[in-house]
Amino acid sequence: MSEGTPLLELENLSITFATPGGPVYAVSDVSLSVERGKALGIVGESGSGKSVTMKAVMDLLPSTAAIGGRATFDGIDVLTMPSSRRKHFYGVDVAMVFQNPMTSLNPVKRIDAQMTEGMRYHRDLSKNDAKKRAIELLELVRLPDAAGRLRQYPHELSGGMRQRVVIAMALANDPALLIADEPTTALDVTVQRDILNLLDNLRTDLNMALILISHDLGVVRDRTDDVVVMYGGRVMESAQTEDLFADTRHPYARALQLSIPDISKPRGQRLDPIPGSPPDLSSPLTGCPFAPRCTFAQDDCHSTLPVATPVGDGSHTFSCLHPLGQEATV
Amino acid sequence: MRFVVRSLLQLVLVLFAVTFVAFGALNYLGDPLFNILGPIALEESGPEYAEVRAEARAQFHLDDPFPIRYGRWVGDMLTGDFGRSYSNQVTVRSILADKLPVTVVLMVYAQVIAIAVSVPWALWTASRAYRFGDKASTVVSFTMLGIPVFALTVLLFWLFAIRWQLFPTRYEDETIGQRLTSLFLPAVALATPLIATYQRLLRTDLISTLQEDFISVARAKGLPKWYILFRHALRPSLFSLLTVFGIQVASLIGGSLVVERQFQIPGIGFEVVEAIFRDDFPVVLAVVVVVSVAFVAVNVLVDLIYTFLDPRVDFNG
Repeated sequence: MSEGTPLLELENLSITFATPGGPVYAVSDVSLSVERGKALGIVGESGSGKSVTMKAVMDLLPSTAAIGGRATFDGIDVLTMPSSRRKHFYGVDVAMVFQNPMTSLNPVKRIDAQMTEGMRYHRDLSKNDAKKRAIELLELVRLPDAAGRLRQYPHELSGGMRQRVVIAMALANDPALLIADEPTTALDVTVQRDILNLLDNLRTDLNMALILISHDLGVVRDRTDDVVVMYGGRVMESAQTEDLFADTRHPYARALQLSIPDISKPRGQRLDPIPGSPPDLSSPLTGCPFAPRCTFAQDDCHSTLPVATPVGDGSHTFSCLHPLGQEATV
Repeated sequence: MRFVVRSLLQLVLVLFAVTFVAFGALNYLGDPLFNILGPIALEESGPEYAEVRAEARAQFHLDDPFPIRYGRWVGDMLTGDFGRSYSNQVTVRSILADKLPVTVVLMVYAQVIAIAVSVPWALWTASRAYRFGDKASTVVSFTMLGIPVFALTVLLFWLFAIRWQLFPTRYEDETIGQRLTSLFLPAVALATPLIATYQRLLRTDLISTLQEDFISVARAKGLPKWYILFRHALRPSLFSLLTVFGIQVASLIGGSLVVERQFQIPGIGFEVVEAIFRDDFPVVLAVVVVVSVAFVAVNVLVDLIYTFLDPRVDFNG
């Protein structure tokens, strides 16, 4: 990826869940990084491991999860942080916005209580100062009548308004990194773009790094510096966003692009869905996870696990034995 | 307003149904005349007492048809007159005034103990669900549910009052301290099955609340575990507990009949058992009324607390 030292860096992260039916290899060998103030998109369909990866960073996985590899934030190992550092890490250095704003807020607590508790715990703010800050934050996320909202309960707000509250809440302690896990999937289409643009603007205004998780490459396209495409718990392709679109190597990344509806195409044109369904992760893979659904797959794809292969200067990598494009430096 | 009307209507219906059934049942259970007059109430005691018997029957309206007697009783009851005990002619009101406070203290005491023990216990088990402490707690709580109250009473009495002499063997009520010490073992006996019930319910609800997204959000905010448990998970998890809390008022009253007798506590439970044995209908009926009113009142209160627990619950829904 581009120059500078990474803020968050994952190296060969693997996550295995112990289940009654044996281990599930949810995430295998994922490496990615995001720099200060930059935006990284993580794209993949359901079950590709994108949320689980970020939940591992946020320490939100159940105790059945075993995590391998390294995750460092600003040089500190996140997975083995001393508890004194942990105490003011989550919600301060890193914050997270979740998929469903309808269930992200506690239904029995007023907005002000939910917004101020984090600031009061981490920064020891007085009740009044925290409230002032909450109003500022609600104005920052452009929620109308910010002061009036504080006394309301979540059910009195619409989905879009609630997601603004959740975002404002995440910004409470000026995080250096905001992780947004499909922040618009549960929202109306008209509200989706507003929320995405809001996140984009906040990142620039607050000089904050953003990890935007989505199943939609179209969402990520104009809003991120880099993209990681995941499938079956593995990184398929990783590149600067423009490179990924201009010089796609992995058949899966291409397939994802083809399944984005394009308004400039003539009416009646069919989308190209990806046939088949995501792989079963309950046994370790012997070949490429995408091989069973890949139209370019050959015999060796089923038996050989592809490794990350660089293109050019190495900011662009793909894991495919038979990549698209001719100029691959294999 | 609709809530008030609905609650009152509920009270009237419950009172009517319960007293009607109780009145009818008592009517066929025995003849109170023996209780009023003693041995001379029996036909065998000779014709010379026939007049006395007829007089007593007239005085207590024992020969009137059922609907008339029930109607008269309801009319008196509505003016606060529960009549007089058949056995000693004391007004039922003074019996209630004398015995009821002891029982009310005992029940509140039992509920306070039950809540004070079960809530922290449920929080502790839910925070370590399916681990050893939780599994051991399940065994303990099912044991508590399984012990019959009368057996538990005997056990507690023998261990704590007789063997270790930590609590008095007889009821003393000169000071508040004495009263609370005397009532402690009976209250624990009544509270034991409640503790287990409440712990099971709250634990289950807490475990499902802890799966909610807003708990992940709170964790992502970096809030400490205890804070999330108490300030985020507890309140939305209290619904089943609260519902059962209201219903348990009835079984607590049933339990007090046993416990008050075994511990010789002069409460309404003790009194009503005596009254049943001597066909003292006015006393039994008055207790039935008091129990029904208490039951409805507590459940109305529970409805009110719902709206406090969850702002989405509509007061007039």
